[in-house]
Amino acid sequence: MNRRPILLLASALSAASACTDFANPTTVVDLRMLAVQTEPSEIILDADLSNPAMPVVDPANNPGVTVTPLIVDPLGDGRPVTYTISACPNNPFAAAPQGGGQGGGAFPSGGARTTVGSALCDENSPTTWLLTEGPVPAERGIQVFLGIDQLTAAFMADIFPDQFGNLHGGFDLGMPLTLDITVNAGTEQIRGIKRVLYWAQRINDTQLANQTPTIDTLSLFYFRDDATFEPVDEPMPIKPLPEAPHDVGQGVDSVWILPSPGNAEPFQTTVIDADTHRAVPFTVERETLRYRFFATAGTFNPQATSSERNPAFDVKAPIRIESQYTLPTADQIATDAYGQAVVTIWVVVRDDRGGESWQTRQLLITP
Amino acid sequence: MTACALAAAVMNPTPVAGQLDQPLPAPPDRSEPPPAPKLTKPPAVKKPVEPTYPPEAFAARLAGDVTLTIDIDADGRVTAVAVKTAAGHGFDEAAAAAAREMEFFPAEVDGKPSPIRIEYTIHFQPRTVATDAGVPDAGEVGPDAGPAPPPPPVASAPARVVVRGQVRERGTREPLAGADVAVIRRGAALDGGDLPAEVVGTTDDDGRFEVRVSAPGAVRVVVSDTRHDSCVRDFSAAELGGATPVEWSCFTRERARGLNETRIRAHAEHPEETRETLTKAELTTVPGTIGDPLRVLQNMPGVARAPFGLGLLIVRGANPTDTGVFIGGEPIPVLYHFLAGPSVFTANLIDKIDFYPGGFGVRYGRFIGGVVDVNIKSNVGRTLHGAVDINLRDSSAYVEGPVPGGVRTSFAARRSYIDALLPYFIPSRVGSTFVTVVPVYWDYQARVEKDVPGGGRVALLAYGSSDNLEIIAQDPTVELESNSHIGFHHVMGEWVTSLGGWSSRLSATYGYGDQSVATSTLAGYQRYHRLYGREDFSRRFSSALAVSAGLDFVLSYDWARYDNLPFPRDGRTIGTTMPPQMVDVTRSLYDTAPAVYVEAQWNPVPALRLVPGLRLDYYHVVETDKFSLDPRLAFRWDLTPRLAVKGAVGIYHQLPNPQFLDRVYGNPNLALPWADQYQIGVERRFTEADELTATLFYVRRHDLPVASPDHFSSTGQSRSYGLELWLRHNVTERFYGWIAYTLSRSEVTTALAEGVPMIGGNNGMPRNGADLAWRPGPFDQTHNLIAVASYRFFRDWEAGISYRLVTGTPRTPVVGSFYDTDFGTYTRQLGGPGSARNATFSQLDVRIERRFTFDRWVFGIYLDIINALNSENAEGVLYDYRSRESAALRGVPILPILGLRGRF
Repeated sequence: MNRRPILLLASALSAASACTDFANPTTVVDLRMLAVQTEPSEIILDADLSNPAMPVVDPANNPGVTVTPLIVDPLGDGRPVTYTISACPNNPFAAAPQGGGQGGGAFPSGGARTTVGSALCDENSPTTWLLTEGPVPAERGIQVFLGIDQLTAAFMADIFPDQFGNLHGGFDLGMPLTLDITVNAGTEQIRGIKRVLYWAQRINDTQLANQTPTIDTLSLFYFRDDATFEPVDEPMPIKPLPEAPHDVGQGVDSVWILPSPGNAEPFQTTVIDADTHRAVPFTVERETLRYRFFATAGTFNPQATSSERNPAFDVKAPIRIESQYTLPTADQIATDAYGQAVVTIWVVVRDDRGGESWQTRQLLITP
Repeated sequence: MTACALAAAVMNPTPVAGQLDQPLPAPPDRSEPPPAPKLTKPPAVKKPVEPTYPPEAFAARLAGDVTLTIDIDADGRVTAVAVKTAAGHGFDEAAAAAAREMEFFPAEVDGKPSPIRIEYTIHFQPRTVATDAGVPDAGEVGPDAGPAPPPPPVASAPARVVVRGQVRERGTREPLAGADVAVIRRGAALDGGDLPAEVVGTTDDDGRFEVRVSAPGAVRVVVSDTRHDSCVRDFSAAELGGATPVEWSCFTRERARGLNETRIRAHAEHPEETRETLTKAELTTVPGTIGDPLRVLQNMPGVARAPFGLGLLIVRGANPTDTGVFIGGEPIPVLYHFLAGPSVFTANLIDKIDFYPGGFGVRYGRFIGGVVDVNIKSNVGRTLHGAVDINLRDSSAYVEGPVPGGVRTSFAARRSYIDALLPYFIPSRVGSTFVTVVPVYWDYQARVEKDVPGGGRVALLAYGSSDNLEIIAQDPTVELESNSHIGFHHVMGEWVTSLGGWSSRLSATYGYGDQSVATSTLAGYQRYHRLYGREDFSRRFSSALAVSAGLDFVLSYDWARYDNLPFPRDGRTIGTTMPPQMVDVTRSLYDTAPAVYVEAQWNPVPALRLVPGLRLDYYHVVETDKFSLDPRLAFRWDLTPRLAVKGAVGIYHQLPNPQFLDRVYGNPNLALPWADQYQIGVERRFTEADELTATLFYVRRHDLPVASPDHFSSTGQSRSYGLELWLRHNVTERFYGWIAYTLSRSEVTTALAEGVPMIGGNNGMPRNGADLAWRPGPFDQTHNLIAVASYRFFRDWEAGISYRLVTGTPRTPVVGSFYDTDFGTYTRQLGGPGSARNATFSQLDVRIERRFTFDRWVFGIYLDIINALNSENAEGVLYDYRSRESAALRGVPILPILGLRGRF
């Protein structure tokens, strides 16, 4: 910690950050859930909205959802890891997700009315439903099914008034059903949530359900030009398992991991019109794909990249989706007789409608 | 307002036969009479005591001289006091009481400490006074009726001026007005000794005097008052025999404070019985405040500790914006510079600060917390003076002086330069993600003043401030474009006069402020124009009744514009904000708020003062009309001359912030937040310098705006209650200090907003109106102990300490987290709101100053060390990305500030 008094007088914020030695979130050392894929991630029900507060759903339009979590347990020594899934309605009054959007009305007034809430399912709530009959092995995906009554109840719970007395909620803005995933490994338990976006009715004829974004390839290069941000050397594809780990080489401190750019599709959604106070169709020209990087040893910087720039901040550098991986030092990882070790890396991609997938690779390093 | 009792040290130091009493040693039994004892050193005042002006006499504008005989023992203690020449009207008792408390350097007879009896005359003279911020008492001469004429010589009929002199204070060159001029005729007694000292007059407002004698001979001239060393000089007969008077200029050292004036606080002569006042000495030498008077307020009882040493006034648990700071009767928009910077108003122009933690009178409106009234020094600029202060953070300069036309002027300016120094200390590292936020600030004040015919004065005060925040990135390759600014400029004119039997103060202020934030992609601007006006009338009808009335108003125009604002859309996406709409937003708001008030100061019996008042406010804002009626009552009951009970009860209203009332983004139908306040206390004075005040208080705040589906609703509530103890030693020659302890509770709650369903569970924090239980407020500090002490030693050194021990502030604990896969972040699971607390806060500040006093200027070097023990106080808790690990967010570490200051 910098203890120069003049510096700290003027920079309490930066000094505070510099005082911690917390674990890096990109380094996975214990039981963690890194991602959850739901297929489909977005479902258009084409329900009867004669009564918006009580949509009538046609069972034929209500498919099951295949849930596949990415659960890792590097220190588990192969212990059994299982999970269960519950579902509950979105809570529009719950806390906003950290770093997530506030929705309308966040500025300059208070009160966020359309935010997607980030909350676990209340076990004691009548609108929390257990979807798995028992623990599911972590390496397996499972198809879950939500009943019509449950869907209707979820829509009915996701309703709120605006300041003009108009009702909004899942029926006109989309209903993000929350899947609450509980993971158990020995005596250890972690929890996470994942949403499946339901539309009671099609917004317009052009609306298409979300396509899950994918990472076709992961590449590696060693040097990047500080001025142009372009790779200096040619990126090399990292072969997926079961191929042998990619040998990074000796005397290497860091490399760049570059996912292939995904197909950022346009999509339809709704927004509340400021004049009519009604939900109207809105077209997003290009969705944002966000990438997160993880490794069993070493660190990534930045921990997340994006295919779009945040319009509030104009960083001069061009948009880049690769992240720099700093290899662990010899004292940070156990090596074999050759002084080498294998590191597993994951790169997860997400879009704006719950679509999510990932790629896993292994690197052979010589710290 | 001062009830001025001029204690004129008139001593008769020569032990003349018939005037000496018992304490002399018995003469030896000899055949020849022993030689008469000879006074080799007269006694001198060691601890002056200003007498209390009798209230009835003061009210009736009576003056009087009381001559006492005081017996002083060989240790300098007063052993007996008798009235030799009475003046009546309570003057005699007041003079005798003060004399009993005095201490002297003992007289020496034949070179040895000896008891002695002296004659001591105290002049009671009601000086020009003001009730509030310059409003004179009814019927009294205005505070600046012009310089008093030189006093006429005493009727001992000196025939010829032999000495013309001027006495000024060493260092500041301030003339000593009202000092007694005494003459001792050397060798003129029958036995060849000196005649007793005879007061021949007092110095005028310029410190000038004349000495006339009717017969030739050597004289000793002694000029003295209670606050300075005496000026003493012997003049030989030959010197005085010349055709022209001898010119004598004397610079004398002040006994009390060095670089700063001292103004003794008046006791119980003010209708605002809930007020506490700090003197200039206390305002500028408290350790840890770096000479900033407005920061001293944070060491008062009832004021909570602000986090990170920020300049927030948290009074009895109220939101800082609920407490108003007034300068010259008008609210100041910004009190402190950015990031724990100094206050925006120079200490050189501050006379005193009245602090009302609650129970303030109807003269102050539109605030429901407390009030700070900064009194500007008037009548400055008669002579040329100046001051400079240079420290590691900023530099300031001040000058005052007269200009032709009888106009008195004063100017001050300050500028920071830490932005220039900081880059030398910030490590530069490519790839670093750290940034440093650096404040750049300046402020200025200018005042001109002139007496007008008829006994009034007019004045014009301009002041302003500017703060910019610059961001410096540690990575030199990263370009950051970010600029934020806040500033204001105010111009105030005032006219103080008397109209018939009424005292009047009329003031008008125009204020302009602006605030902006700009990045490379967006920009936001806010501006305001304000016009304030105030007229205060007061009149004293009798010794038992005075009435004050007035009106004040504010016309306000607020304007905001945001260019290219990434305005979130009212829609839903999973993962991040939906692509925002880049909008240009312009908002404006007009606000008219006149008010009238009336207040009486009534003494049904002399020992009891009641101050009832009524204030009516009207607000026209966003095409809505709002009214408020505030009845208030304060009282003081002097059970004994040293024991009083005082209290206050009242209703207070204020207007919500303009942004809460906006028609599109706010709710113009919000109610006026209001508070009912109750307090009762006891004030016990042990001596003239030592007193203890204990106050119980209870405050409830209602209709506070909170976020809701209506954007805002008036459903917030808070309450505070507790006990404030203040043990204080007022400024004396060497020492001042106090211990302030507050035991309190501050709680908040939110009534359920209409239409918001009750959502249970403890996952996340309910956003809108779902929390009904009373919980600790963000500024709740159960125990708040402050000890301040400053001691002047070796005459030119002053050292002080300030120690603070405070209960940690409430925080909401993190009890767990879960992974939100759609956003790739962990959402914290929180415990009960405010159910945990930060660690207890403890901090010691130290200050030491060395002064060099020359005849015409004073120079000082000071070292102010904030957090001298480098205590690692936690201001909060930092958590890792999934809230499993935590670390204390540390506050300000040890911070030494070295500075130089000079004054002439």
